[in-house]
Amino acid sequence: MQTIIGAIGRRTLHLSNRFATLLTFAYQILRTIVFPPKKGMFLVRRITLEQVYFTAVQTLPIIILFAILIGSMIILQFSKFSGQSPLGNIIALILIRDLGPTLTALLIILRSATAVTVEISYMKVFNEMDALEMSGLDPLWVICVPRLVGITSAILSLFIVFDIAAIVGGYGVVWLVTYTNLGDNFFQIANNISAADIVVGIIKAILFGITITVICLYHGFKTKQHITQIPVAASKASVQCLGACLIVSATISALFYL
Amino acid sequence: MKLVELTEYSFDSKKTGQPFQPFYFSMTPGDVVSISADSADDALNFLMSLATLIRPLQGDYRYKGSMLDFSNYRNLLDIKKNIGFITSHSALISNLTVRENLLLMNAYFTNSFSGQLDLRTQELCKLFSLQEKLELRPAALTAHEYRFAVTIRELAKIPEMLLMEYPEKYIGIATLETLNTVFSDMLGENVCFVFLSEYRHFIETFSKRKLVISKGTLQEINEGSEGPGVGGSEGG
Repeated sequence: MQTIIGAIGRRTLHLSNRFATLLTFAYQILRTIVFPPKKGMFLVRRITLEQVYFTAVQTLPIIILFAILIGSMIILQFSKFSGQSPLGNIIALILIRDLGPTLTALLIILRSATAVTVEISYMKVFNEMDALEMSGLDPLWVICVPRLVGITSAILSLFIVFDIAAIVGGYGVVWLVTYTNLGDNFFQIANNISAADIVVGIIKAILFGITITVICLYHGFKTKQHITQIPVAASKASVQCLGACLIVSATISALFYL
Repeated sequence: MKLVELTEYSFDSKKTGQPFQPFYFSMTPGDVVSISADSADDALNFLMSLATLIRPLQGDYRYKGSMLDFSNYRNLLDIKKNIGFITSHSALISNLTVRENLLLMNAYFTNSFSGQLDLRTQELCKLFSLQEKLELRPAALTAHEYRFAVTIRELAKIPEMLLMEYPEKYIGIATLETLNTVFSDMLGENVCFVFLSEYRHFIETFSKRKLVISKGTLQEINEGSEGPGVGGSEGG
């Protein structure tokens, strides 16, 4: 019995320690954004733009395609029940509040977050972080800040694109390929979206961006001197990002809607 | 004034995990120290500790008389940028071209990127025949060219202290001979130079003091040197 309690205690301490480290790491990055060093602004801007390009611009075609497919599926399925429950209400509930930010985050985790973990791990294993420091460059400033700003703004903009594409594209697809009578459902959606839905979506997108970037960077920096640890770090980071995003999503939804 | 002064200094060897015996080591500007070691790992660790890349277990590190604070890596960045570090641990940033790697430090500190190498860097590129490779990523370079690019970057810094691991192997004996003028010029500018080497000619040409690292202990072989010193505890 003592062994079991001991094991649970050790595990709890280990998890608390890791959580505290993550929070401290996040605090350090956010603090660097608020109180930026005087040097290196040019480089940071350039790397941030590159990150936005990789994460947002290159993901656009994929996210629009996903959004149209998911939007048309939802509209098609729920239009059958439009007699009992207003379609606009359901779409606002599902797409804008939850599915939009969560699926956008999922896509970013799959596409960019794992790439960031691999990139940072690689830089760590092959001493590139030391090379940056030996040139007097602050890794937190030139590596972490651009990725945090880039990924967070990418999620925020992609979430808006996802919602618009899912609703407009979804309607378009259903109208084009089926004979389903959609009536005035399109206007129902507009009527049912409240300011709180949009605010919640934005808050979720920002928190997802911070959560995903911090977890990925943390795992990247934690990688020691073995190349075999890189895939392990990437896999751990992606699973933890997804778990953390779902917890954040559920917490925000509970805070706003319960 | 001493450029570096390490007192009762000790650190963990990264590979073996064995702590280095506490030692005293100091250098004045223009000092040239050659190292020979029974373990290349220990010697590299010593160079890394001079480069402030390894946190000490105990002791003080003074740079130009100021005590270094290892509690935050940011405190060390200003020191690191004045140290040329040419070892097997050195690397180029893989997602930048060679030109961008060479201009990275300049872009960071001047907040601009002209894409134009300064005269000194251009001369070094010419010396290492790397002018044609400047637009390539490090992965496209041969192992030799990669090490040349690292060497150019570190020499172009105009460091106050240059640390080098086996220059004869790192850049090759033939190239090393052509670099003699560069090293002589640097030493004329009072750069401290610490190198690990087995190449007798290079040692005899440049070395003013000789250190031996054996089983985690640092010792100076005194050949009538008037160098500031090394020892188990603070000495002169």
